[in-house]
Amino acid sequence: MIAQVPSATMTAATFEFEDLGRSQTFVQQEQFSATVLVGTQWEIEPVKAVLRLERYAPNWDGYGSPPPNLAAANLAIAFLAQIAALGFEDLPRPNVGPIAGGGIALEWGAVGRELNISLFNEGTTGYLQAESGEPFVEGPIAPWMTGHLRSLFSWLLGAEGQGQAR
Amino acid sequence: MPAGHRTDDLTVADDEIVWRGITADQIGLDPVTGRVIPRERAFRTQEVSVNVAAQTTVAAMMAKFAGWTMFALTARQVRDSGCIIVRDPLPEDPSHAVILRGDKPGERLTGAQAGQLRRAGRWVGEPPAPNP
Repeated sequence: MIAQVPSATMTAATFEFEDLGRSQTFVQQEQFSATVLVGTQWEIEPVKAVLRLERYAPNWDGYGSPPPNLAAANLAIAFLAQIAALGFEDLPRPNVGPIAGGGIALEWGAVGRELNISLFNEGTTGYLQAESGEPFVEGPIAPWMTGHLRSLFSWLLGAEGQGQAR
Repeated sequence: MPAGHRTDDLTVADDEIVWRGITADQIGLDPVTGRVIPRERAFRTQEVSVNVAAQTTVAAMMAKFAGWTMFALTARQVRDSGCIIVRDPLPEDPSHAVILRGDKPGERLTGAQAGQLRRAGRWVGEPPAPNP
């Protein structure tokens, strides 16, 4: 069962993880009542990485960048849930990090290929495909665009002979 | 002057070098080229602050923010990516400049522009370790 992911409360400094089984896994924030539900093991580490971004202070990059906000965090977690639901075998976990100017980046790399999904603090999103010798391809993306997401990850995993959805 | 009214500052010659400070979590391994380079997210902002290398030193930059590794670009590389350079001296930082989108100054750089910048430049000194 894949659970719908509710909003994350971006206020906990620490959290504990408890695995309650394969179908539902809870990431519980120690000091607050809110929880983030994830439906797959794959989502756990990236969601934890999103929540850790709350610790970033203003000017974290030395150029006055704000930390990621709740809107970006919610979008990131929603994307992770949808990507996990695509059912790709051996899907690597993304590198999760803050964006200069405000936002969260989800970044995947394969041999000769790169796929980035950016969630900006103002609520906008975008993806970028990069491949050796090819022009960049970018555009808007949303968690509900499952067909487009499937196409993007099929392309990414196709670089290593993967890309087979369950 | 609002960013939208800014134009490319041609007093910054094509061979002029500018530095961007990159933090550890903005450093990655480029799967396309295999090099250690800044991640795209280090440049995906509306005004990319840089410093004109000839007007400052690495030591002065590190004194501003100890977590930086300096990444160097030429003005030509910036312009080739579809961006412009505008000098933006500050009272406490006369070497300050900004990289803006050439077509829409003041709007966030595109992924393609950020991608081109991160792959075009070079580290000042030895490349740092990537953050996987």
